[in-house]
Amino acid sequence: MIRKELVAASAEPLILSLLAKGESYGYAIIQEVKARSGGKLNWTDGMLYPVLHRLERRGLIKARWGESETGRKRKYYSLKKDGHQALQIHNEQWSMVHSVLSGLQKEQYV
Amino acid sequence: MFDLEKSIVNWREEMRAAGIGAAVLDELEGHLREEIEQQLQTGLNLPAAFGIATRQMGQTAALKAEFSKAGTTIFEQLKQLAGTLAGTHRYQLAANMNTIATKLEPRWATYLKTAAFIMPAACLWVLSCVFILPKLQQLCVVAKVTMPGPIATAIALSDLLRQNLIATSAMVLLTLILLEWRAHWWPNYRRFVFGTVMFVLNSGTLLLITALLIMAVMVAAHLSGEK
Repeated sequence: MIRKELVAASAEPLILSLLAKGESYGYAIIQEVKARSGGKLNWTDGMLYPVLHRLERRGLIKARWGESETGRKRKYYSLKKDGHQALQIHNEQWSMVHSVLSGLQKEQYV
Repeated sequence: MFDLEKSIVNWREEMRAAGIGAAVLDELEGHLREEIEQQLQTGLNLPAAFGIATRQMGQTAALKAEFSKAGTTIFEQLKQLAGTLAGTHRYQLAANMNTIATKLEPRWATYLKTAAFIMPAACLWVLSCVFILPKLQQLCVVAKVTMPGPIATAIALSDLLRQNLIATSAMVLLTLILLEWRAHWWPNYRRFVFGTVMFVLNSGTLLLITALLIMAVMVAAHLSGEK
């Protein structure tokens, strides 16, 4: 079980990274994160949407109403220019944390 | 017998009561339906699939707290403001994607209310056309005061409406008949449209009459100064 603080902190970079690959919608985003993390990152479904709306309000992503294959209303999200920049900053920061962690880990085994 | 549509309507109602807006609910409902379909494919029955999907969606209170952090866009706030001013406090229910239990106001009620609310504005307008306007224009001429642009425009508009009252009424009536007859989406927006039009007309009339009265006082001051 991943701590909820980590889940919350990683939500934004994960969503931005997924959207950087192309337009998507809430349900698909959750499914993909679940699948890619082997079921370990299991968001409460409803919690994704406030994050999406927050990102939209900050101008990082944009939304449009479209239709699903079965003709149902569906809201699609895609990355905006500011979103790409925000993602880059996220990536740098996460890589930094990661490199510090793995550097320390290596030293333990030397 | 488990009724999915009814359960979803109840679920929406519960979410709405917690303060989650209609646009968000439309999105969440789409998600819920997809999750239910997914669960059905794994062989669950409908009530169980609905139960899992709503549980997975999260507690109403927790959702509400998260959404209040996200806030609403200016456009949504404006839309809500317009809805409130138009007197359609629950207008969001009229525009959701449910086809059942939309709780629409009956047609006669909307028309009756509209007629009642337009009466004061219409009476004031007629009164000002008959008594205030001609007098004011006369005063302006005597005092050699030109009317300020916006007021003159408003008066010109009001004159135009007065001269073409029959044609305008006929056009409005024809549009309404056409909408009632042909537009299947019209019932969902009827109350909102009427509410908004009433609000604009009423406030416009009040503003115009206030402006006319202020104008009259100013012209009067000018007149006594001349003497």
